[in-house]
Amino acid sequence: MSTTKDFIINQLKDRIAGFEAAAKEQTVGRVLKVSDGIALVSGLSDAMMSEILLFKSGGQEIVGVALNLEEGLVGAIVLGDYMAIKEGDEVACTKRILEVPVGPNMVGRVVNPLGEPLDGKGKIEAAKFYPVEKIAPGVITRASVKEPVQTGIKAIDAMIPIGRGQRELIIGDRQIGKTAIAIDTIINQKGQNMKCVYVAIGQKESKIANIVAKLEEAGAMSYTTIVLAGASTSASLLYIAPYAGCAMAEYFLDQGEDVLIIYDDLSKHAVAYREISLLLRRPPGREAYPGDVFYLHSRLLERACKLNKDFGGGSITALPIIETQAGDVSAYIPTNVISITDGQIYLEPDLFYQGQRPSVNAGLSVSRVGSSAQIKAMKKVAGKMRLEAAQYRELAAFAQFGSDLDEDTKKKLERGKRLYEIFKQEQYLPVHVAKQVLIYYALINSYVDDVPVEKIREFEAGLFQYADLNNKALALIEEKKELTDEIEAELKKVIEDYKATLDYLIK
Amino acid sequence: MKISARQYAAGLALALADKPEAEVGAVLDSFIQILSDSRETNRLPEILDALVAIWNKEAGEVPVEVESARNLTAEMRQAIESYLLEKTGAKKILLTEKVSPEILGGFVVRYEDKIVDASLKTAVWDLKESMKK
Repeated sequence: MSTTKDFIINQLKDRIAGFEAAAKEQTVGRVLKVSDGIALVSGLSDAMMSEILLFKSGGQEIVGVALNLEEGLVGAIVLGDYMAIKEGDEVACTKRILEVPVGPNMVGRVVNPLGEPLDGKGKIEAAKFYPVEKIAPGVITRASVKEPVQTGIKAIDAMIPIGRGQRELIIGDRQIGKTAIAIDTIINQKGQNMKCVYVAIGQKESKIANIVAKLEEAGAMSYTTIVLAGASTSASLLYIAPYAGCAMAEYFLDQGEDVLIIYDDLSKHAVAYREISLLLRRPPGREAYPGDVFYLHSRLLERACKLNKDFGGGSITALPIIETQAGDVSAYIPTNVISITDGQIYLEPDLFYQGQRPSVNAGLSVSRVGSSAQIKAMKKVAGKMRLEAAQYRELAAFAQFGSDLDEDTKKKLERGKRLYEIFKQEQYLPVHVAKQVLIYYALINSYVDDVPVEKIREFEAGLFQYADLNNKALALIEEKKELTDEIEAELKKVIEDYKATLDYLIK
Repeated sequence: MKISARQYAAGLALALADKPEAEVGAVLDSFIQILSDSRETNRLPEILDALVAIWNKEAGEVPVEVESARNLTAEMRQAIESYLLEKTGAKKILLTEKVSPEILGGFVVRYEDKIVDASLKTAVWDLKESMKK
């Protein structure tokens, strides 16, 4: 007993003896004004851009970041409790750019934009600190996007394939399933060799609690980090949240790993930045956003990349989310982000309310990286799917006017109905790529033409179950990733065998 | 365009630069007149601060505030002054002293926008912080 006591006392003595009290010269300024999370500080003549400032107020140190450097004045955002800061308080420079803890220990945690834990699971031992703002990788270091990100969502994997290192925007009105797509994608990354970072910007904390619970239930938290800047956090934290999340993703990129990062959502991020800019008295532009709101998002999304072999071969795939107001994609922020990203998934309210979920609009959604990010088997079965889906919608609208249609058009309409039925998918139930190939194979080879439209989903579920139990086609697709003659024969067999067991087919 | 306090002070300093003592009053009178015409007399304290800063800079003088737990000895004062002369490259140090027992021991030197904190209070605080880790 006494030995442990002595040991502790000795340790403490060593620590105290090892402590060196040094008087360092510091640059300080004084707070002139504090308001709404913004502080104006005089002095601080050698402050750097986005340097960490320490506000020494009432016995505690509050962190701030220098954003405006003027003659004799520094405009800073306060990342802590700005109510505790008083006029005349001392502010010290730290000679450090704003940085966040990164490393493998961040995985499975819910943290705030400064990397502090919010999940009550204790302190995080960080491997390293990464600067929040970083210049994106240059041309020399990059490679073209060619490996797929399997979202597990049938409509997306077939029509709008996403590659590792791509930036694909998810855009749509409120309450239409934007986050659902992102969460399903995270769930489907299990065993796909992918780390995930979900950045929640200005979201309701109850929603995030639900998401965390769902991810835990699906076993997805073992490779996911959640950066949470909730609706009640100050604009300053909302502003740095996506950059902090990206810094955490960059750690894994530097280890040569693949990372998926979701920014949910960038419209709120732009609004937070607008608030900061207006309070810092920067001149407002269109919709009162400051002039550099484009750069705000372009520098963030440009950090998504696919590196070539010489630089580790890792990738960051970004899925930014934008919320539109009443379907207006031509507002300022949506057009900006559409032009930055390599394509968008447009979610349509009409489809959603017709029960078509996920409500992906085939005509307006594109992926500019395209089929190079699909496995060969998927490429073969889903090659013209997007065109077909878009044409069906047009044709269906047109066909409402008359009933006497020619045989060909009728056939197209019937096929389209079944295609859209196949696109329907439950939330939190991603479908494996091999199964997607199976159902699309059945569709394009007219195996579902005699299945009644309202029975399609039942048929699909049954087919998947049957194939899982009785056939090696799925395993073969998984292994070879292409459609050989042998696999095609297997697919045909399993579909025909399964159909032989059904009694609801149209004769 | 609004004229800043620094600009006013710089102008005034230029106008006063090589005027004989007798004319200074007249220059100041007309300066006050300008300010009152543009209704900016309330900015006088601000302008005065800027003027003092310019004045100090031209004369090579640096105002320094030393806060210590006890009264400084002549020797210590000498040491601080020579350190600051070397550090700032100024010709003269304008020392103001302040005794504040709450820093426990040592001293805190403030000049320009720099601070050299050699107080016992900060040392104890740092020790406390380092023990927490």
